Amino acid sequence: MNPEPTTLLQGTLDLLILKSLLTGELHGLAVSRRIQQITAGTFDVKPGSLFPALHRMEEEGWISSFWGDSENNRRAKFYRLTKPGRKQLEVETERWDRVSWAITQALQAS
Amino acid sequence: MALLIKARSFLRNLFSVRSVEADLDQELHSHLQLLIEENIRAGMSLTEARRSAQIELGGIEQVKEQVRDERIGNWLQSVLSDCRYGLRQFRKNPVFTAVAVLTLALAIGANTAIFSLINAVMLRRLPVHEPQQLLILKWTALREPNTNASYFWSGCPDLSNDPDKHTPGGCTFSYPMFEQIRSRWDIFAGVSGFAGPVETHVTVNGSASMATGDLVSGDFFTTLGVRAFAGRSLDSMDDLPGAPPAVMLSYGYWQNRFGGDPSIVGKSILLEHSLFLVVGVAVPGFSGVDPGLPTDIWAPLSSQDVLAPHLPKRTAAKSLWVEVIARLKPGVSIAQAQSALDVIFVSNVLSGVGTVFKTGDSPRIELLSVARGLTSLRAQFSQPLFVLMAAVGIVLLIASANIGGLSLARAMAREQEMAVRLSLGATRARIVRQLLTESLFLAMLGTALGILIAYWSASSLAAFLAANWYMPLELDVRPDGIVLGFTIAVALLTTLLFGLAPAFQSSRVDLAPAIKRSGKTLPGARGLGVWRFGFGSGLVVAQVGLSIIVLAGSGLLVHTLVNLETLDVGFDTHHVLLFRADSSLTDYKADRARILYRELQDRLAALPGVTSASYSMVALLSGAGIDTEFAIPATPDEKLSSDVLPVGLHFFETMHVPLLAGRTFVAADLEARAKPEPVVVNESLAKALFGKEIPLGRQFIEPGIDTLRVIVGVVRDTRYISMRREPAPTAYVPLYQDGGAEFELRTAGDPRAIASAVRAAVNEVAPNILISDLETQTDQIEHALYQERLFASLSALFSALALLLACIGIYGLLSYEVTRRTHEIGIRMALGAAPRDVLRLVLRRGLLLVTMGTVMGVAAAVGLTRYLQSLLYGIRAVDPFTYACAVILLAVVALAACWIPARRATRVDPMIALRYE
Repeated sequence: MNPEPTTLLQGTLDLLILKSLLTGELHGLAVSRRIQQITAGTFDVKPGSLFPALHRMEEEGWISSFWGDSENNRRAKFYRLTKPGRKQLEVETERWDRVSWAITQALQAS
Repeated sequence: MALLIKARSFLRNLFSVRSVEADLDQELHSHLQLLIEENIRAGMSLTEARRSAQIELGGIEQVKEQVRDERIGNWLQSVLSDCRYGLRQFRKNPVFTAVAVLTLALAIGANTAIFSLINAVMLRRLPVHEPQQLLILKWTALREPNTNASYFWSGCPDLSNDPDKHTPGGCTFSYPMFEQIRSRWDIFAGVSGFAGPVETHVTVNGSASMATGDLVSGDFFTTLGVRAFAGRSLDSMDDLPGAPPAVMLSYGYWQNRFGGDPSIVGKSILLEHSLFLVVGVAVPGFSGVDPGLPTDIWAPLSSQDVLAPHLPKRTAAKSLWVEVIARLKPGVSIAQAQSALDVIFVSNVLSGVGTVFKTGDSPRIELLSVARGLTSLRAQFSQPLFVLMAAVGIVLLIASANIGGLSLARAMAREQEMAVRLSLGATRARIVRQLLTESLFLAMLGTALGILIAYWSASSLAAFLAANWYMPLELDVRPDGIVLGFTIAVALLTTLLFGLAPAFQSSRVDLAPAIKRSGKTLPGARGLGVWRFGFGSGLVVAQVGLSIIVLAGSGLLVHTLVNLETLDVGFDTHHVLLFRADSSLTDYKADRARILYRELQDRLAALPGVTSASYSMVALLSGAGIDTEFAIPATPDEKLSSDVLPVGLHFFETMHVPLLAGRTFVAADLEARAKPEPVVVNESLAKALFGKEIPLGRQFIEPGIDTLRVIVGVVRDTRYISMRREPAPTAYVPLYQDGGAEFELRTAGDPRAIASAVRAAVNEVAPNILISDLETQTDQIEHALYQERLFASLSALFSALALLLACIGIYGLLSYEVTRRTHEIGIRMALGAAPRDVLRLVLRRGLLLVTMGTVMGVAAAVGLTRYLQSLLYGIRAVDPFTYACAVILLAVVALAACWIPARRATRVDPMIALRYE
């Protein structure tokens, strides 16, 4: 079973990108694939959303970038989580937990 | 930390555009390659892999644009690109840009210049410590106090300048009263008393000159918090009776008179022939407490006997002469201080030695802020300055409407461009911003140029004022924060006024027809023969209307000036030479002075070219005078307010004041104090006291003074103190006392020609006499009217500017419409319209707008010019003649402005016009 990719909720893209970078540095395509993987294919982040978000988050100081070689020895721009980024991930995670708990509560109410 | 990272990104985005862009480009290309590789690994062919990758990426340029939108500082980039685009537009339209920038510069410059004057005269705070804590004490009452002497120095807040509307009140107190106030340390952190300005003769190295001085109490400088630039400030020890005479100089006076010589401190100089030790020089910038009227020297009140012997003694409890400035103690409210002082004041002036009021007069104390200093100049200049400010404000509105009209025409020519932008997805807000950026850019250029114009014109105005004012004037018109803030506010307001309308007009473009339209002509679909009354027409109407207001206002001021210049003052003002002879410098006192004046008079009358000579305490129309009250002995309580002028022999003959009955003074009248004292009165006094009767031999008194006066002659009314003041009942009395005198010489030819002979003659008779103010009577009147002349000329200048701008507006609109309708005019002419018809068509259009504007302008002017009434003389604010002149002038000039585009319309060649499309 392969569910249709869902449009991202406002603000969740940042959370997913930060989460995907938690295990190590990735280039843009790998970030996109990793999100696909960890959300079991629910989210497919297009370059038109991915790159603006990456650049914005870099300007915010949550991630940093460097040029390196890909697994196939191709030059690619890699991103890694910074200290403020880890903190931001905690903040976003907590916020998401609150929101999802609230939504779940709301849906379970009779 | 996060902020630092953001700032770094911002700067990188701004300044390393190329490397940021290259990096992004590389990143996206490598992303594409990675996608292709991924696809190949999944088993696709190279072509297929590339195609699929490109679909997933969705266009490198679009992604780039999306990234750019997210960048920090993106707005700045787009503003910069707006500016670049705007600049290109202006380069393409140099004439429009030049006209707009010049118009703005003139309007903003004029506004800033007038505001600089207002700032200098009215807004700037005294350069002292915490000026907002300073208060001046003022008493008010229902009736005038019954004092032994009262001095009203100029500059008391709210004290009406108009002697006819004088309400009892003043800022002077007796010295004992001042001492009681000073002892209230529980209310005030400092109290200082002062009196002045007092003109003082200063002699340095044998050369004498006049200086303006204030007599101040010992704590004057500590109360104000003004320090010494060199030496020390005057202090309480200097003000003790019997203390060695000391004087402090202002920085400006020290620079001008002593060349900034530091060794003068500690030396002694001669003031009124007494030695005074120069103890110090005040800090630069502080030149007294009356802004614009600089004080040269400060001497302790204790030196009053030497410097101002005419002032009351310190012990005199019924003489008002000391002004009091106090600094409120922190934590004490004005109301608390006021009620505490009221107790002291009221008990002192209603009973005891200082009784000057009766209980029913309800005297009380007011505490007024003196943070902006005393009000001498404010009282004189505030109204004319506000009128000028209104005039330049209107000029600014006209300028805004003018540029608005020009931009509107330009915006319509750019309809096609806007339509293309809109259809390519630009938001309307984005287009409004683009156009506002262009407007702001114009405004910035105009403002920069305007500030230069303002600086130049404000300093020349101030210099002109100072050169012609009757006393030393020092207006600091250098731009400060307030002026700069004002200019920026004006510039922004202007930008909004002229920029917003065209911007919204453009963003409202109807897309389809605008794109289809070729750039140059406009479709006839808007209705042939029907002139649209668009926003542009409204702007022209507004400009015409506003011009009428300014024209009418300045017309009234000019008319007033003409009325004053052609006024019959009651005597012959031509061929009269005036000068002031000051004998108080020397030891000529009382009788000696009178004899000296007679000698001088005889010597001067004998000069060739002089037909008659006389003297009086002050000259007629000099701005100075003595007013008092008269009554008939039978009814001493029915007082008549009137003027007095002590005169010498032959005064009426010299001034050509016609004698109506009786005789003028003879030598015997001036010799001894005859009782009753012989006086010559004017018609008004005769009529007011004695009705139609010819009052020769009748007597009257000056209440409070015992002198009984008997009328020996009646002369015609003349203007006395000033041109504007209606002739008041006036008594001419023989001049006995010394106090300086003004000499009047009637000459056969040009009075100026004998000036040097006069100096020589005076020097011969009395070498110690100081001659000042040597000028002709007509020059003196010129000086007296110069404020009126200055403001009339300035307002005329501004109205000319308004007229010019309005005409540019009319011309611009009509030219634009003619160009727009070349096609239509061509069709009309092809169908047989004569050039005359076309001419009439365009002229009718222009004159319709002018008429509408004129009607509105006249209506508005009728409502507004009544605020001018107090500045006017001899006309009412709604003067039909002045209004008619304004309307005719505008109509003629506007017709000329319509004529040019109308003529151009008649020269349209139908063939070319029709082939235009």
